[in-house]
Amino acid sequence: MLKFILKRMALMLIVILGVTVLTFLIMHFTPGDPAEMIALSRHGAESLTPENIERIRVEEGLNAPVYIQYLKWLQHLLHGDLGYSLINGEPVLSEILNRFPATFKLAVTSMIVALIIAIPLGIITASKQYSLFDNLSMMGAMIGVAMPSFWFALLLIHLFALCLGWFPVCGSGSFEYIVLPALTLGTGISAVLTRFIRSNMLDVLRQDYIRTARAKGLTEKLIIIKHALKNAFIPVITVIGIQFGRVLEGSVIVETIFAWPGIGKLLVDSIYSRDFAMIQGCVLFVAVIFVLVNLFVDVSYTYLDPRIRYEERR
Amino acid sequence: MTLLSIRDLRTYFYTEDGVVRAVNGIDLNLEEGETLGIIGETGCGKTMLGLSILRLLSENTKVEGEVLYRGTDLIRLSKAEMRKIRGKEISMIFQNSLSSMNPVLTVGKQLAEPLEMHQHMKKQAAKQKVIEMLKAVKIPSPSDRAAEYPHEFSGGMRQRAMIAMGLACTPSLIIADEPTTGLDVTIQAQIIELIKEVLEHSGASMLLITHDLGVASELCNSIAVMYAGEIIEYAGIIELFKNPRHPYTRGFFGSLPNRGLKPMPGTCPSMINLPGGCKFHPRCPHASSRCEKEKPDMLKLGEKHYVRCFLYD
Amino acid sequence: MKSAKKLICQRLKKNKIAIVGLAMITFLLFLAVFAPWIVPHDPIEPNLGKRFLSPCKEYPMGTDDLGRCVLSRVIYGTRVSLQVSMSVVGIIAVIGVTLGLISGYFGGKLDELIMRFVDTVLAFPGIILAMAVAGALGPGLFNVMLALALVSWTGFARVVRSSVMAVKEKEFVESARALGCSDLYIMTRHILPNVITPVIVLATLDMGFIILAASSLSFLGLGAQPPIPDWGSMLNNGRVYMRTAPFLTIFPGIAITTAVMAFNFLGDGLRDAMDPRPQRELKK
Repeated sequence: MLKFILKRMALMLIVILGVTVLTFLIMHFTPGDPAEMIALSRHGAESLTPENIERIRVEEGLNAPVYIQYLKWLQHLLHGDLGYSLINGEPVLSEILNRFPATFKLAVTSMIVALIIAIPLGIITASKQYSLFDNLSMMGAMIGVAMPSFWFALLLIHLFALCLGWFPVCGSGSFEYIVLPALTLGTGISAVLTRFIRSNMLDVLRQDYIRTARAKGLTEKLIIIKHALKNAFIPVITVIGIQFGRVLEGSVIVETIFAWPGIGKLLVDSIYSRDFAMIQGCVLFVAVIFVLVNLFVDVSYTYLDPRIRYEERR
Repeated sequence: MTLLSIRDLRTYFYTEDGVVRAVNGIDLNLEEGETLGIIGETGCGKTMLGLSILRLLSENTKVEGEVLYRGTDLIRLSKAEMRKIRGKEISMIFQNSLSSMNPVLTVGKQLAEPLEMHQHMKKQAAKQKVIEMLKAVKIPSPSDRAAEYPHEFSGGMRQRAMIAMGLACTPSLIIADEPTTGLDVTIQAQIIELIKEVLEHSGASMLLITHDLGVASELCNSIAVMYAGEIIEYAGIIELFKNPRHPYTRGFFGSLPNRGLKPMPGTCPSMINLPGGCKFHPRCPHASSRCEKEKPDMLKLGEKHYVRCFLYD
Repeated sequence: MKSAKKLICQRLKKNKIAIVGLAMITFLLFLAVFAPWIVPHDPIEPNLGKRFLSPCKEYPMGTDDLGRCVLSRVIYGTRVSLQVSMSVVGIIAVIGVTLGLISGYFGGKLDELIMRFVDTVLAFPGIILAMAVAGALGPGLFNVMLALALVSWTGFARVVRSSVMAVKEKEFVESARALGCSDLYIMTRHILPNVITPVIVLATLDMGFIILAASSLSFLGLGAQPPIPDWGSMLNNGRVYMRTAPFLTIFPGIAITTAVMAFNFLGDGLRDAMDPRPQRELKK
């Protein structure tokens, strides 16, 4: 068990190293002269003289070979230094950490919304396969998967904020503000989750051990709760991890629409203002979070499935 | 006393390729305390017969006819009434114990279920009983074993646990579907011994579904030979071994290794496009034109010997 | 091989949803190809006298802030969307299949290297990486296509790699090797035809994904720039006028949903037809 976790962590470190290389390279090959940009952000437009730019290039080590620049950048990174915003000169990391709680709150709330919708729906549709309820739910899920989240967000705003006035259009603060963004994200994810839970349940319900349970005279309710659910939900855990990535992706758009002050909005704003240091920081941060979530999912997966637990013990 | 009486049982289900007729009008009687073997090749519908009795087939399967258990027709019972029969009056032991046990529940929990369900035992009491049950099927250190998962058991151990599970509520009838298939020969012998012992001890009847004549001869009082969803010969065990009549039964006996292997020509027909007349005629060495057109009736040959063949008409 | 294809066609014909998907795709293709002849009005030329008209007989989906016909713009949007998604899927299929072939066929260190690269790309939530790339390159449809291609080829590489590993042990590959065929020849002539089915399924499903992703980026203003009639940027534009002219957001949204659904329907149907009981992809 411990050995497995260590192995996964070693693999994770390699991936994170790859993530840093990729992020660095994307920003490195951005069109435009970084020295010029730094000059512009630090000293204003009047400092854009060739001598000034050349001085900054040398100072910042921007004339060194790429891999030296990368190693230097990595060294800073390991000390928690993600650089400074090109716009307001604030340290990137502290800005990101300031914004993270909002994104985290939104992600968790959306996930809860998604699970509240998907778990009962997935179980009921699987136990009543091909019924009217099943067909309608599956149609709904199909639409939910295909529907762009930003469009759904606009529809929700139109209905609940503009027409009915139940919730605010955008912003953050009290509980009402999180309802629409969480509903937007949660519904989209619940569509994927419902389909997955349903097909898993159907798979499990076809297994021999379900027949054995029936042969023992258990009620259908007991069979589903005691025999099917646990088997069906072990793979669901993995999908929830993958869906967490989708929450992070979706949060970019949803935060922008609802003016929710999280990392997603920070990223989009940085892209608009071409704040490359901030873009780099956001992408790196989100990727690391995503990798950590996946590690957590993998480990919990092995813990939940006694078959794997056993293999590892041996 | 007749415990189970099956009248004209038919089971069929619809697939993409057509209607599968798995059981085609079966009549059988099982007396109290008797062990009846259903033998036949893979795919002849014998497992379907077992599942039809307990109505364990999926919703899209049609089961027609009567299954009278102590006079009540199981086919006409409500779902709730049927559940009270399953595991309590009639239990089933499946083949492939690995896939037939839930991988994420401990063996002890799975064994306790019928007790909690039918005898309304409390958790603690059921746990005690499970340990006794495991001891009865000769599983060493039963209290430790009860806390383990099915994959931690060996094949033979798991099959023992399955048998213990089937016996939990002391049912009157046990349907055993290939209980020894896939086990080592020595383990097989042990399991057969165990079943013998258990049957003697509890006085239960058994319907043993197998393709293995050796197993059948060890356990059964009488045997029904099944082919393409029908019973084609029925006799007491000694009579059948001494005097097999149906060409198929003879062929089946002939293909046993200890009688000099003579494999039967052809294979079991597809259950979708069954041949007309006698279903065995395409493979039968004695087939006449009559066999192609007419379906033979069950003929009485002796006191307890019936055969479905025109050769004895 | 031939009879397998026949079987797939048969199964596909029985799958109503897949047929619906195919019909929808045909319709979209028709709209995209014949857009100039179908549209009732010019999709780009402003007509300031007719701003914000509600849906009526002449403008079935109304007009936007510059008085342009929404229906005409939605129809032209089909063209933009399909062009973008087809090009991206084409590019990622080529990249992914090539890397997957190399990885699966040669194995060893090369395989390890490519797969770690795949893991790295997969470590990013896709759209966020695409946004960063698009943001770094600057707005524009071409940059969006490049960004999406960079982040979404991994699926093909993985699928092809596992298919290749299954096929390369087969006898006909062994015998081709024994005959002294070159690796390149074996890969293209013997192995590639055998891994093409999962690639088609994935390409169909990815079409929907790319349409969705591209419209998201356009919605954020990173993709198509005005006056190009793109669904995502139409939504972004209409958003401001949601209170007074909700039809500006409703119709492009329906168009995106329909297009994505069409490809999902066909993709799901193809997958089911090629494999009656699809094996779930699971990390064990």
